[in-house]
Amino acid sequence: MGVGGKKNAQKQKKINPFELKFNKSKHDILGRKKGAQVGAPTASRKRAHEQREKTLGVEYDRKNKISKIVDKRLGERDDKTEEEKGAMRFTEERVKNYKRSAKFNLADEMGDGDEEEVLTHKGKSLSDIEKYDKSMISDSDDDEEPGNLGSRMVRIAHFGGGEKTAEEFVKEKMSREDMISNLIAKTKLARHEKQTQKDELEMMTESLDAKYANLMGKMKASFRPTGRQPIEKDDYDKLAITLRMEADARATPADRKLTEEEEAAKEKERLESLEAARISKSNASFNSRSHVSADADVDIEAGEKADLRKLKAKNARFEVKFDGDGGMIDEDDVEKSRILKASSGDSDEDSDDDVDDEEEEEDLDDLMEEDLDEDSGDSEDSEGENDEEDVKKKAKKTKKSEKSLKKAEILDETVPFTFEMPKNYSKFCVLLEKYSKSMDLVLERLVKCHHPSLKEGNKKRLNKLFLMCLRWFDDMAKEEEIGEKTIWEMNLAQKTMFGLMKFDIQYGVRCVRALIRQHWKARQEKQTKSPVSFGLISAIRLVSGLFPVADQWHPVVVPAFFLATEALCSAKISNLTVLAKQIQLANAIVEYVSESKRYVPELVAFARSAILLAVTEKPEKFSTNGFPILKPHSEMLCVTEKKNEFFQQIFAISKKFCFQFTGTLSPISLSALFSTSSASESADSASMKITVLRAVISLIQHLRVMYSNQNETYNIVFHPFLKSLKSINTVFLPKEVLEELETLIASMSAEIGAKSRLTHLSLIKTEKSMLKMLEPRFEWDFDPERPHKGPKDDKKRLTKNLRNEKRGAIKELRKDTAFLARKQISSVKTKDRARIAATKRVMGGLMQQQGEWNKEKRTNDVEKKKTKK
Amino acid sequence: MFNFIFSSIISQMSHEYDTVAPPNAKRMKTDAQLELKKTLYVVLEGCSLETAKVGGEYVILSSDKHANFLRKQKKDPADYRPDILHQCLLNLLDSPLNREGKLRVFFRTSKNVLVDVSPQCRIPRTFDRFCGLMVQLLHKLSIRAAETSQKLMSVVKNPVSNHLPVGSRKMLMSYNVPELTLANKLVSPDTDEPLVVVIGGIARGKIVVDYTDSETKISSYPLSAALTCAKVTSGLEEIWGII
Repeated sequence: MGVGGKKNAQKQKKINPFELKFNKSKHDILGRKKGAQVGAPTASRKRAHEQREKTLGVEYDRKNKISKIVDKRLGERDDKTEEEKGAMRFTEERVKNYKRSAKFNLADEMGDGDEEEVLTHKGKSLSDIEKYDKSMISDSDDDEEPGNLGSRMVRIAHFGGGEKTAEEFVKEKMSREDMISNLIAKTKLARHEKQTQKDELEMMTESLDAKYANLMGKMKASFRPTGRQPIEKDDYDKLAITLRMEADARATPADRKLTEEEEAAKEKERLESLEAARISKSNASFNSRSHVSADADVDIEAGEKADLRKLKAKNARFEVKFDGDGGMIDEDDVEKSRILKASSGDSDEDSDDDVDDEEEEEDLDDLMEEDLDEDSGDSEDSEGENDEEDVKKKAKKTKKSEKSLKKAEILDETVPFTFEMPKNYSKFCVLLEKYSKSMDLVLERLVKCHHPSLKEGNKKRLNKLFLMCLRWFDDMAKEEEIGEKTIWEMNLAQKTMFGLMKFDIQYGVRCVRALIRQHWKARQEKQTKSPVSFGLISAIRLVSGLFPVADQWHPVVVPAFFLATEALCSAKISNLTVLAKQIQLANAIVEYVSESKRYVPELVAFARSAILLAVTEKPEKFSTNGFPILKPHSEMLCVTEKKNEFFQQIFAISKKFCFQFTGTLSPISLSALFSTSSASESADSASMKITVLRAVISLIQHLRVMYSNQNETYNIVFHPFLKSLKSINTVFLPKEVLEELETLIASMSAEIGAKSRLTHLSLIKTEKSMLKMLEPRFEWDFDPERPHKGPKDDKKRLTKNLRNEKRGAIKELRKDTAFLARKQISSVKTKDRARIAATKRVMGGLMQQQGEWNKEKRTNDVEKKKTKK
Repeated sequence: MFNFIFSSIISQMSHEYDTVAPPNAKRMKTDAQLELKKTLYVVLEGCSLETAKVGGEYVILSSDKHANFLRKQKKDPADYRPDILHQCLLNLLDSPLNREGKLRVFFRTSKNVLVDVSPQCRIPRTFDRFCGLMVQLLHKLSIRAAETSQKLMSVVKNPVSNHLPVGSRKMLMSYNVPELTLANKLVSPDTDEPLVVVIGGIARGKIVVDYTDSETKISSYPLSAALTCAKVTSGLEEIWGII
């Protein structure tokens, strides 16, 4: 045995070269379990063959073989008697039942297996208890329902005819109807009983309730009150109720709001009555006038003030609106537009007129003439009778005016309340002259008396009045001497025009445009380089007073503005007076743009050139638009000596900046400035120098404040100013001017410092160019055994599996076929072998037989021969 | 106007490459000559980077963490030093030379895995993170960028001399060399030719490779691998004027 084992081991150690197969491992990873590294090909082939023999080989052997029927009946195959067969079957059945169902059957374990189960209730069998037998009386509520007839009744009625008792034999003789009536009676009786029981119960309950209520009534006083108590109503409730009830009631209306026409009529009526009273008074007694008139005056003044307030309020709301074409939107007056058409010829072109519209080129004088023509035509139509009277009156008036100015002075105390509209300008002048002290009253009443709603032609008359006022204004501006009174009158004219504008804006625009055109023409023709006149400045001021100057485009403001800037930059500045005038104009322009803050290059250039006059050391480059370059004139603002006596005058002139036609301007300075006679003699005096310098400084201050919102250009615009201002010689300047100058410099430099952050356009500077680093993709759930995980990978894996399986299956099938072929050939070979062996055997036998026969034959032949022999 | 157009073109370019193109970027054939010039190739030889399944998890073997495991496997724990490679890569890829696009890095592990590291790869700063990434690399054979599909590390085919410029100077950093060459004298600033430097990413011992033509030492002291990397890059920055 031991020797055998040794031999076996030696045999195993001996290497079979066909068994040498090694699995190559690509990645050797420590710690990972390796699969079989060495294979056993022959062994595995043998194993596979054995497996096939067991499965496929068996099947192959059974191929083409039909199975037989096996009779499994008990005892049929052996010869047995019927009794024996029955006994066998019985035992078999018992064994089968016992084995299958009885194993877990508890009931069977306790008692006999054959005994049937009986359900019991409280020890009694359920079948003994008559569960569904109901009595009629026990069911209390079901008595109304039919069908609950006792069991006995059912037995008799439904299943009648079974066994019969003795009673039934007796009753059998009763007819069916009797039986049914009997039945009904019985049920009725049962019902009646039930009803009586119920009634009794109710009765008892009611009596109990009554008793309880009685008891509670006695006890009630001792209980706390509960539930809702009736509440007493106080004043607040009453008030609330009344408010609720009278919510729909409305207040009784006060006096109706009067329309414009009615108000005007009322006003006129009032004025007329007052006039009548005045006349009667003046006729009656001059002495007692004071008392009554004082009363009247107070009344009038109060009314006027109220009217003025109203007017102001209206004007505040009053806006001139233009549509896209530049035409006025608020064209309510058809008649006026027709006149305009007639006058200008072209209809639509007129409304959207440009600055140089050929059709509309008319001067103020032309307008005056045209007006006169219209007037004459108009008067013929409507006021034929009045005309003659008027003429008479005017004749008287002219006489009067010629006669005495004294009388006018007396008369102005008693201004009449109603006026006829003066026919032409001279009459208007006369009228105003007549009441020279109370012109405002006169003009106001004129306007009131000719309110367009009062009479047909009143609008036209008011237009005429506007034109006359404008002319009056212009004439006054052209006057030689400009006094306080002139300024006051001009102011008055402006105010009146403003009031009249609301009746017909179109006409007002047209008139003022004409005035501007007149000025323009005058400048273009003769005085292109001359300093501005007072007339021009006042006209420009008038425009700013009458129209909204802040508008981007306006038919009057824009031409006026162009006129002003043209006049500002074209004029040649020869001496201080001219400069002062120009400063005046510059201030007017500042007023124009103060709201819109539009940048006006002419203005800035003027201011810069003006301040350069005060500097001895000029910069290398500067613009000289009309300003002197040569030495004595180019330093006309340099103050070199001290003067104190004109300080008052300085203040007076410096107030020009709040110059609003209010008459605050010192008469000396204005007249000095604009009078042609005393022009250049005293112009270059030191006081004048200081005054003008101060004005220039003030102008620059205005500009600084105005343009302080322009962040981008501020430094460029104001840096030269700052330079020039700093280089002004301040030694001889008076204290006030010096202070102003210093504040200006300080504020300007501060603002320039604040706005110095200018960013120049430049190329975009990129960072140091470098390689962009990329973060590697880090997989947190990385599984090294499945490194390419993902949806794509799953599919890939499946396809690979499929391919492998397919390949394996094909291989197996091939091996199966080979196995079968092998098997077949082996079977064929065995058969052949058997056949050959059989043949050999047979042939052997035959040959033996033949040999024997031959042998026998031979012996026979020998014997025969012997015998023959 | 011209400036504007120019700047816009530049900005377009920078969108793609951030102005500096990595040396392995695809370009026109005409630039082929330029490409080879002034580039440093660093090959880290003999780096220990080996994955193992320790306690059901795949890790990079390191001496301090897996000493017991290594001893059980009859290995010397002192040979497993992936932190050297980590430091070297950090030093190389963060250098201004690399940011300028003049550096290419390869490393070869002790198991003969050759890895090409893209100059745009941002190496994880922490060692654990680096190890995780390396496990990923050794099993997936490539690492891609987080946002794009650009390959940042990839296992390439040996030998490494196939990836190095032909005819370039290839020097092996060694301590056992008689003469000393300073790092800022490695190449002359006038010549425009690439340089290959082989550095051993090992804790001890000597690297033996067949593709180098000279051995150099840049210090008279034995230097760590990371320090050698830093010195070489800074020296070449100095030579090539990358500040």
